[in-house]
Amino acid sequence: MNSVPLSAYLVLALILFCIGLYGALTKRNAVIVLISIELMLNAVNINLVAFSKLGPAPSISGQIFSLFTITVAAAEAAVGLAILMSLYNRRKTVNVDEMDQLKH
Amino acid sequence: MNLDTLLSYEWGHMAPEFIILAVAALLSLLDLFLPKSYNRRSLAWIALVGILVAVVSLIGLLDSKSVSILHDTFRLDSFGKAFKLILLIGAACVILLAESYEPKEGLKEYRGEFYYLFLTGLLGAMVMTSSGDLITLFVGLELLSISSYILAGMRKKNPGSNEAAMKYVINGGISTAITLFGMSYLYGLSGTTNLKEMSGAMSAQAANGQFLYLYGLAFFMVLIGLSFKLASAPFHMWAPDVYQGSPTPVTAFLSVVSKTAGFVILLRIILTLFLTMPGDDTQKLSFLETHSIYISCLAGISIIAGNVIALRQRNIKRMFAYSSIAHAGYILVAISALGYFTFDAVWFYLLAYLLMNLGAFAVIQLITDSSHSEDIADFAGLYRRSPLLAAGFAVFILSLAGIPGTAGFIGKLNIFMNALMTDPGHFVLASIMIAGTVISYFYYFGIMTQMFFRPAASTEKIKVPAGIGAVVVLALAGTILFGVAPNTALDFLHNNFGSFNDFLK
Amino acid sequence: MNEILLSVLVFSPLIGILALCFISKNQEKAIKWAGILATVPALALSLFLYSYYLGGNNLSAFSEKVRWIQFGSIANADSKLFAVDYELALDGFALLMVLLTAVLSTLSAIASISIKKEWKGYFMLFLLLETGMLGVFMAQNMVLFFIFFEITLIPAFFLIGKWGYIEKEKAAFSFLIYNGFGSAVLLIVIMVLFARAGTSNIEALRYIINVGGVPLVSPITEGMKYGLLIALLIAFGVKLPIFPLHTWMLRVHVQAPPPIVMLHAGVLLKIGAFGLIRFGLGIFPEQFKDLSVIIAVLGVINLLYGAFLAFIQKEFKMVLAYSSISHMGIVLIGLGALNESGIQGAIFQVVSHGLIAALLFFLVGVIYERVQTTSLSNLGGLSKAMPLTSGFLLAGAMASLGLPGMSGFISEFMAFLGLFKTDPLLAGIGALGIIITAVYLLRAVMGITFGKQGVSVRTKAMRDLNSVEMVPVLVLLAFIVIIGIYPSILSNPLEDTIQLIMTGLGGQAG
Repeated sequence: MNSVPLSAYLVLALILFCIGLYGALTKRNAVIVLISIELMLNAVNINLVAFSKLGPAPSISGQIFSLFTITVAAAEAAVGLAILMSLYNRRKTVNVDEMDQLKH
Repeated sequence: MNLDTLLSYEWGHMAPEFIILAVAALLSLLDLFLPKSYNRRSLAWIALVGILVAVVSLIGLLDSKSVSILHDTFRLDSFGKAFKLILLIGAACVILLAESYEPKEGLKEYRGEFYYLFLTGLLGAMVMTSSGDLITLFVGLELLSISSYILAGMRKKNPGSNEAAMKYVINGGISTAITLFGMSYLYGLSGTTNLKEMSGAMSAQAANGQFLYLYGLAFFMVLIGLSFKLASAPFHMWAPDVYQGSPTPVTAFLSVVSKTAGFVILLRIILTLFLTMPGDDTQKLSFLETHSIYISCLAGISIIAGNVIALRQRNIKRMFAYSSIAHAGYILVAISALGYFTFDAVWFYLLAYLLMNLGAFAVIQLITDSSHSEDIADFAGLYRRSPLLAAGFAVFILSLAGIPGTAGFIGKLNIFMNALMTDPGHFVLASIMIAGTVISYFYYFGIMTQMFFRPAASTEKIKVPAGIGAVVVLALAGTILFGVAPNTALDFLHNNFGSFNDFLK
Repeated sequence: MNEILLSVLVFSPLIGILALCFISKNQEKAIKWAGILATVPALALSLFLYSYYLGGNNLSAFSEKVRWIQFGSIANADSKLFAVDYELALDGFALLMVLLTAVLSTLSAIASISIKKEWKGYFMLFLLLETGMLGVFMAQNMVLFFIFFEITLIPAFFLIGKWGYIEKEKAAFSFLIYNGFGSAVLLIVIMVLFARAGTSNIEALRYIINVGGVPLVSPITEGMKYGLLIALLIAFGVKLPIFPLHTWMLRVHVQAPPPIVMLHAGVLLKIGAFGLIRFGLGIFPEQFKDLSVIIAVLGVINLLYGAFLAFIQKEFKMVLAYSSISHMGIVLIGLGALNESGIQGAIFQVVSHGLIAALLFFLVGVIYERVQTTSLSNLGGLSKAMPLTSGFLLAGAMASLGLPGMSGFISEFMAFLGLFKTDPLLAGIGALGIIITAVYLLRAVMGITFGKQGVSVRTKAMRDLNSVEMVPVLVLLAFIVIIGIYPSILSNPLEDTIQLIMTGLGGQAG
């Protein structure tokens, strides 16, 4: 019934994760960085759901785990954006490179 | 699952968590409904009472056997109890510091949030100590993390605080994602999120040589993700900035409670899953033994990087950030040299570290608040301005440097013993650790030089607020007591928690 | 009383610290009196023990042992593994060191009346230092030894850094870092032994390393034993100091306040020699035998290097500092000889140099206080201005260069006698050092006392030694001469210790 093998999902998730990681580490715009982190978390969700359906030992708990992940990711994004707003109000910038006040 | 099964669980064993949860909820409601003009400083005392009640209820539970609720999503074993105690004591001290916290521009109406966010963070850490399920561990981790993100940015009008919070969110987010990615493989290959069942499944698979590389990848990712939380090098970049920018009580919270929680979850996941799992299909060595070199590397790099970079810091909070990186390295030595004393060493060191670091941060908060600057030079002549405070700070520094007569020394002794008693011994790690200790003398005693040898910029006497005074006295008493009579702590540990035999059961 | 006598002895200075807490920091006289008096109980007790021991009694009646730390869980307690006891005891050698410490502590407390500021802090740290030094010699296990050893480090750091001369902070830091490094290496040795053998008791370790047959937690291989001994050599080599590890000690001797230099040269350096004999020779005799040539060579290097450099110094303090290095070479020579007279000579040298160095550094302190310089070219013709000081300086120098009839002669003679038996060539080279010693000491002291009058010496304005300052000088000189004339007051108490060491070495011909 299912013709797409597990490995395809895993590779997709891995690629997504790497794109996210790359974005989080290289992008200058804090909003993009936060989005990249979401990308990484979503890669995890794909993994979890794929494993829970097609894994070597399928079980429902993967889907439950992904629900938690989604919720937590949302909370994290909300907090992240709120902090970014507050920072933007002070500094009028969302550029990560310009956040360099804290140096010895 | 029907109501009867639900009620049949011994919910009483979650009393400490429930108390913290209830107090946090109560405080948030009070904060919401109290008039704006009301001084929210008094909420700190409610929080403190809440934590103390939780401590009492935890002590009441010390004798109870290992209890599992809801299929191990909550389990109260001796490991959980022992580390929960450390977390609660640490949080109580942090609340006392927060009560006395008075930044330049004031905390104004945010003061209420300040207190209950500590409690939610604490709750997250407590969940992490006593959970045997990947999902709850993760939720606990995030509860702690998200609370700390907000706490770091508590001084909304202060650009430094904002920047610290932003950096923390980004780094924390990345580390969460990496940890989770590793966890997703762990779940996927074993088909369960329950750690014990997972361990069984993994052992069976590994014995056949299945999925070894994927498990290796998962181990590696979980380790990296969590080492962000521990602030161990090379994943420490966030720590100096966040420690420096955050309000001082939050820095203390991060360096003590959050770090303890990081070690707890690391031990939970790594030990439960990988200790019994065979390293390859020959089954000679366990997975952890074949892969402990990664932990050793983290430990070694943390010790060297932390101590060396701390040498050139002028900002006291930044210096303590690097020192805390080095201390994370010391504790990782105990974990990587897995042996008979690992739990003892980690527990005792965390206890000692809690006392000495909180004491030090109490003094730092007092001095930096009164001088509105965080330069080490602000400590010049502290001995003249307040001899007792200077003597107390000196004891904390000596303890951090591991000088005999203080708890820090016994902690290091424990770690050395653990590292050297195995065959073959971890001589390289022990040598790195001791070299790091010697390097650390430079900057620790640099502070001493400021305090005792240099003249003071002002001769103004320092007024010690009650909260800070209480923390300093408590930490001082503990540091010296556990340094001179360490068996008060060690016997307590062994009498109540045995050798953590129920950790894997 | 017997069971706690040693503890009382070790911790009696702490009573002084307590008393000092209640004295206002401006009462200079009271503070100084309290500080001096607090060193007296230790002195009295150690004198009592010394006479008790000379009376033929056994010191083991005073041994103390209380369970202190038990690592590992309670279930393990029966096996006594990983237990650290609080155990103090004395043998002849340790007794001599304790006596030396107690004497020098009291004398340098008297010398401390010249301290100009913050007496309260000074004496508190001073007394803490004394406790540490006393404890080091009595500790019966390595962990306890290490704890006392480190306790000396911290007060000494502060005493040098706060009350020293111009470059005091630099001196304090180099003291701290070098000694910190030394004690770190020592800690590794201790922890390897403790973690693998499960005990840190010196007796037990001696048995385990030499006889074996005891089940261990983890094996201690032959190679490891050599590694441990070399590590010990480095650790105590910093303290002693042995040649390339000595630079810190020069700074300390020049910059520290005179009473602290007295203690430092007199006792703290000797902890290195004590440790080397107690642990190196005591626990690893077999391995020590194999390394003995290297140790003797190091000793000769120390002796010659120190002597040559002392010869070209322009500062009297530097002359004395290098002379300390040179004299510590004799300790190593004696140990390297590895026979009865060599070891006896080494121990004699430890005690005798402790007394002589204290005397000389005290006199230097006195001179510096009056003249504000110790530069040789500025100090000529002191004998007219300060005849007593000059006379005692000359006496001290004579003792130091080994004039017969004074303690320095006995120790050097015996150490070289030992080495001539085992390695005549090396001993011959080393003996050159003795000649150079005479030359540089005479050059320096003669220049100071009889030379052309220096720019800083004004005949009239300078006081000679006052009566308080006479006390340390006379007491030290008396000890030096008594030992020189009647060495058996040292050799009698040492008999047992040396016997034990020789048994460890397999009864090698003495």
